Amino acid sequence: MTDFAHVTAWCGRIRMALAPNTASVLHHTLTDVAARLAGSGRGGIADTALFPDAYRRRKPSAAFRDRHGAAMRAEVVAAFSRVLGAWSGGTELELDLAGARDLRLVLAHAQSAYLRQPRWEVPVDDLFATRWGAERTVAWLRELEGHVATAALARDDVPVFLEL
Amino acid sequence: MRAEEKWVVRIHDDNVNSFAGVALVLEELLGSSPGEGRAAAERIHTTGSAELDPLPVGPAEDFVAALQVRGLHATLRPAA
Repeated sequence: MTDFAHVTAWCGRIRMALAPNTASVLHHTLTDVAARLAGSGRGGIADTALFPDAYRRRKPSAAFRDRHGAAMRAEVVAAFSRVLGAWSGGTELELDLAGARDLRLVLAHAQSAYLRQPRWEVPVDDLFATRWGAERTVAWLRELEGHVATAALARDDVPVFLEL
Repeated sequence: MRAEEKWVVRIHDDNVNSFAGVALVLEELLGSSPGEGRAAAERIHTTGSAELDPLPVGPAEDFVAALQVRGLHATLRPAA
């Protein structure tokens, strides 16, 4: 079975065409991560795995999490909800700029569920150090994040076509 | 931490966010053009980080939170 993702940008709209298996696996992945972010499902995802320390020292960083952590997590959860609310796992998606920004955010944070260390600490020579042998999942999330962002930055009337 | 103290928001390079992803976030939050966002992302990658003008602690924390929500590695340091 061939996996693929075609991302096209034209006149401010982004269209994605996915292979049936790609769509199914991606939708399952995002649904799983959304459940874990919401605290249900297999193993929750801690704030410390989602957001880096804001300060050099531990104590002010913990205070920052106390002040902002819940709202920050709620924003991420809301983005997952919007993406999954607008896409039921079909092979085609059409996004406006706000939808593309949401999808990029979701694809970025979803990686945290499968990496053995926080995203911002992953060394360049260990990009696929994943839990549960999820190298392929992380690779797809990472590549799609870049493709969606590239498409979202294209504002001209010249169509942009990206293929995975 | 004093209210009048100014803080610098620092955006760090990492190995997982794409150039385009960083540029898209900067475009959204800083109001820069896509080209300016790409140039800023390139600077962050080349130099390891980029810093914004100092802000009071409240707005600085809000900005770091917004960057982190969007998946970027952003931190705060006291302005000199």
